[in-house]
Amino acid sequence: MNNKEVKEAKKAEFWHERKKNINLLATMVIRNVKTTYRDSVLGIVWTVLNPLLTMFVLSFVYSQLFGRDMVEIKYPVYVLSGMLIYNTVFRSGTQMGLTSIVSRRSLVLQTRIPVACYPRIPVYTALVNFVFALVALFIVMLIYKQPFEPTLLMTLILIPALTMITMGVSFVLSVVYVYFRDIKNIYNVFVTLLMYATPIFYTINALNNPLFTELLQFNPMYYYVDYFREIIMGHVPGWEAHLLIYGMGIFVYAFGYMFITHSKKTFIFHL
Amino acid sequence: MEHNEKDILIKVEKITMNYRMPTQKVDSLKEFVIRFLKGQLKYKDFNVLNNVSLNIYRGESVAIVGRNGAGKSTLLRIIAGIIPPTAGKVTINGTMVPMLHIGAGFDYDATGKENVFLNGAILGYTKKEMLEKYDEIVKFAELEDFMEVPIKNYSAGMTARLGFAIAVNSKPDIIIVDEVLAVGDAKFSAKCRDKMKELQQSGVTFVIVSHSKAAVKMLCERAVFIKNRKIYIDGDIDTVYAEYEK
Repeated sequence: MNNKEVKEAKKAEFWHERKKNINLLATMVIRNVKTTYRDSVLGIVWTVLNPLLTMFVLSFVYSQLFGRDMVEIKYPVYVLSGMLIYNTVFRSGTQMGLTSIVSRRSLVLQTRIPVACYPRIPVYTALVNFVFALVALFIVMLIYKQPFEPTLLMTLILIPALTMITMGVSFVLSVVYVYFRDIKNIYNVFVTLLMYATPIFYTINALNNPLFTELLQFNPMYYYVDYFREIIMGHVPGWEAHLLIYGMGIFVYAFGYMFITHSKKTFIFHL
Repeated sequence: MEHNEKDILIKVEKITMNYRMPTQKVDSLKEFVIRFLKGQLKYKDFNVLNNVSLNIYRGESVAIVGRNGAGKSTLLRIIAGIIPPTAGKVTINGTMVPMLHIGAGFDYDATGKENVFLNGAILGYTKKEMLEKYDEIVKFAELEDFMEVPIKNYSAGMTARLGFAIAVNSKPDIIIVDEVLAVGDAKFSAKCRDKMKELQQSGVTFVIVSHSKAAVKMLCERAVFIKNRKIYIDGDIDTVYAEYEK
């Protein structure tokens, strides 16, 4: 075989590997979504109903406290949009990602699936849930007469960046969890803290605390939540916003990916 | 046998494998930090395989023997690409199905049919490829009436039959087996043996770990005896087993 043929063969193999992995991920994600709602009468409807009901409870409770000074975005839409980004994607994605390697122990030890696939499965599952939850958001927007702006399509720009940061965090957590089982409890406390540190129920203005506003700049989730709300309101976020969400996404993803691919040699003996 | 370099299916080059084991199991961050501060984190490295090289050629099947803990399963897992070796390289030229545990990756809440595709995806086959093999798999497993039933309702034998049927009917170039030759009842295991023989004759390479010569004799002509972290003897199956059983 000459050099060119070798190159061609390598290329074909690369694409074949990719195809195999995509097929595997798709199959696993579909199974995940199916099993979540397997035994309920309402089935898949729950994926829409769940965020909708939570939103009603929250907006009922919190609208008494904050959020009366918003003009451009209705409070229930505000709460639900924040929850979709933080809870539906980031929080549940990383929480399920954390256990992804340990819970599929037998697969890790007995099959040749690349190890980075395991945390990807729950993150993509979270994205599927996000799509269903978007239906809930649209229903709420209709009810509260929030206009549908064309900028809403920019969700397609936001999602890859959000997926990358969620995945990067999941990569690291899934490996660390192999070694330290108490990390699960620590992380659960952390995500709850982070939720309150992210403006989901409250607005920054309502807090009226300059120190807190200052601190908020260091919360990565703030930028993703804020981006989503901006496009719901019909604003086009500036280039700084794009730079931030993608910069953080790519950095965290790259770090997490290197971490997980380099650690298989060691963690497999602890599993 | 004379072999051409091009016919190498599995090339194992200078594999060394070290396990690092903590002398006490530390599995919480709290404990880790405390022990770390006290300087009580102790590891022990032990060497399982030392500079092992092995070529397996197209069309031949190889049995791997050795005492318990000699590193056979480790070698098998390294060949299967499940664990990366500490040093050395493994090159595989072909498709491979590891059968280290029948039904690894079965979802017990899913139906038999769904599991065929799930397991297929795990082995690296797309839904379309699995559809072509589906009827054959079901027929081989003799589970025609049970494919719509969740496999948590299957008996252990039925699950094993389905797992075996998927693995052998996916028609890989290499099948890696770790002592799983007995599947289901006497009749079915005879069928499995026949199927494996048939596959072997059609050119599939088996790499099998087994303590029993009888179980591998019909498939393999060559055997490798692993002793003292190295390949002790590599040769004809009768010679190797004679040495092993001595």
